[in-house]
Amino acid sequence: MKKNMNKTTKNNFITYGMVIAIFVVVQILSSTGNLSRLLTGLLVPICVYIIASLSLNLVVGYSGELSLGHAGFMCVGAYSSALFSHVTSDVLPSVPRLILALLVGAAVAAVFGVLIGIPVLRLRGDYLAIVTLAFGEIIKNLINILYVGVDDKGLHVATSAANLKLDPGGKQIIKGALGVSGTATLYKDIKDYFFLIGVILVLVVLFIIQNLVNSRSGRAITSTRDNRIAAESIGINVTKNKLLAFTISAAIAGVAGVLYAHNLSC
Amino acid sequence: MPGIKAFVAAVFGGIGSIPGAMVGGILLGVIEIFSKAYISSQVADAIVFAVLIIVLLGKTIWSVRQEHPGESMRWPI
Repeated sequence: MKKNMNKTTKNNFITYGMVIAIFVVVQILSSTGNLSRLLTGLLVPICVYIIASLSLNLVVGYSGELSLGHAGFMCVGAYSSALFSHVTSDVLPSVPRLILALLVGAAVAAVFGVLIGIPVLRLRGDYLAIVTLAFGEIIKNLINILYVGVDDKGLHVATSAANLKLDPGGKQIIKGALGVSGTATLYKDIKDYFFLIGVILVLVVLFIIQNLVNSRSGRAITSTRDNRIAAESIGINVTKNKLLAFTISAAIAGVAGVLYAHNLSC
Repeated sequence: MPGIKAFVAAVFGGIGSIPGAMVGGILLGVIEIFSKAYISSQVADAIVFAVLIIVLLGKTIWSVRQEHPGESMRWPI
């Protein structure tokens, strides 16, 4: 390690090193046959929840706002990316499709983050927690009655299976409370590498969050958490910084949702 | 779900106020049953939470107006 490296950079590299070390240990265990089937099935969900907790840490830990609605962003990311994967399954090969699905999930979750963040971040404390919780429940409730199908004419959206009016040969993708099924079967050829993809995503998310937190905006975000009035008095735009943290956090939660949806094999 | 709704009712009536929590609970139940009966039974929960969001945002904007009369809230950011 270089001598002129400062303490923060060193700590960041230690964190990346820990993630890579765990990945190597797990790979060795798996190749020598010491990993049970149960644990093998848990590896990708572990990555999903690491990413989800990193995103929640950004908004609850650094921004200091108790958001209870992050499952909603995960849900939006999961559904939009699964829809994208099903629609483009005949057009794109699996690796670029997965990358695009990740971007689509993150982008849709970020849009929802902005839309929800603008009204919500005007509230404080209990009210913010309850309103984010309410938005999460609304998203869950609306997706439970959402039916989307695709045929030659394009996408059909309805609130019940009968109203979908698909042509013969069209297929339902989102089936209301049953959700989206068979997303993992679209990625049969890269199924074994999902843990590697999950670890890479954890590293990317760690890189984004650690660089954001140590940047100018990151210090602005932590200063609004510590003392709102003092931060405002030195010219920090409190709402803008809170919205920035909230949106990035929503996008990362969306990425976690994408990984979750594409690993679900039923 | 019942726990979440109890929390919502308590916030609805104002945290820390016992009569408020009771009134909030009754109002929330009435809104939920009426939206189930007259609008849609599938989205009743969403409607309840939407009403709650509107009430809380309205309350916040109203209290800001009271504190700073004549000053408009910069809405987008």
